[in-house]
Amino acid sequence: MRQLAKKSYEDIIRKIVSKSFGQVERCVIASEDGLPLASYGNPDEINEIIAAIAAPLFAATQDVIKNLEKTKVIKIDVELTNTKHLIIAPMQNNIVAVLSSRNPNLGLIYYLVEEVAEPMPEERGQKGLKGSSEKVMKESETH
Amino acid sequence: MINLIATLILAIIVVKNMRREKINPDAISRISFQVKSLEDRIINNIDIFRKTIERVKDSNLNILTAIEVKLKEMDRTASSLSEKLDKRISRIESVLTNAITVKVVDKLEEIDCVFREDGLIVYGSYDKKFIVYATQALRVLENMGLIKLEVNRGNSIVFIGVLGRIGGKMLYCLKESSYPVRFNTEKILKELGETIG
Repeated sequence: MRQLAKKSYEDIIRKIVSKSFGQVERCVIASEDGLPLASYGNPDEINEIIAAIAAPLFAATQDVIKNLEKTKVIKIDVELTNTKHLIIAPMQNNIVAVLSSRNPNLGLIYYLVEEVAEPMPEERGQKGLKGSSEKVMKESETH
Repeated sequence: MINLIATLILAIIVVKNMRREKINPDAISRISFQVKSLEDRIINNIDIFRKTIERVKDSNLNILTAIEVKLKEMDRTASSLSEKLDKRISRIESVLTNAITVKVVDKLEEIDCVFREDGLIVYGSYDKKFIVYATQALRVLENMGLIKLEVNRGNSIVFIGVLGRIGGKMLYCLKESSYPVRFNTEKILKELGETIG
């Protein structure tokens, strides 16, 4: 399985941020289990929270869509009432999450994210999803 | 030539003097002295005359060189003027041609795409990268009373027109064309409303 080095993740983030004309507030690359691999924006704790919610959100959506439509998810766009957007896209076995500034040039952010995005490999995505559903089940059992 | 003339003059003077006065030794010595001094003066004059002619010749040469330089300069000015004129004429020609061939676009199907101020295409399709960066430029230009934007792209021109604000979002229409285009925004907006609601 091909894994990028931390420096490469940082390069990807730098590329997105530098081309965004200041419209990317935060950018996080997270592993499938929600741990940040590289991030942009301060404080770092918020990037960790974004990584923690974006990875399972994407995995769950991927799982549902796979069952419903037998296809893959390209990206998820969460629109916020303060006109910001949280865009999540797959990148190999990881995810890239971008929190935009207010009233962003959404097309530009989509374009920049799509440039680095790569669909999750079939078996890995399923494995990851199974893992996450198992976790949810285990959690519900304990409650 | 000059020497010949001087000798002739001398001979004439000597003959005249000999006629006027009776020939005696004193007269001969006086005459020869006069002839000698006359000869010296003539030689001096001839020398001065030669120098003058040389100066005139030199000054003429200088004038000729100056005239040549001036002519070359005028040549250069004339050629640059003709170049400028050619450019102006071709520009006027193109403006006139454009004025004649400007096409009014009033149908949605004639447009390449309609996109929003957030860079998302709502109708048609076009190079996404171009759209997002054009959107970025339009965001800057929006507050400057922009009506139409023309971007030279390769051999064609991309025309971007302001359609108006719908649902709080500004809409722009885009057409790539090799001839000038004018958008009938009212008709396009009406048709767009009927198509996408």
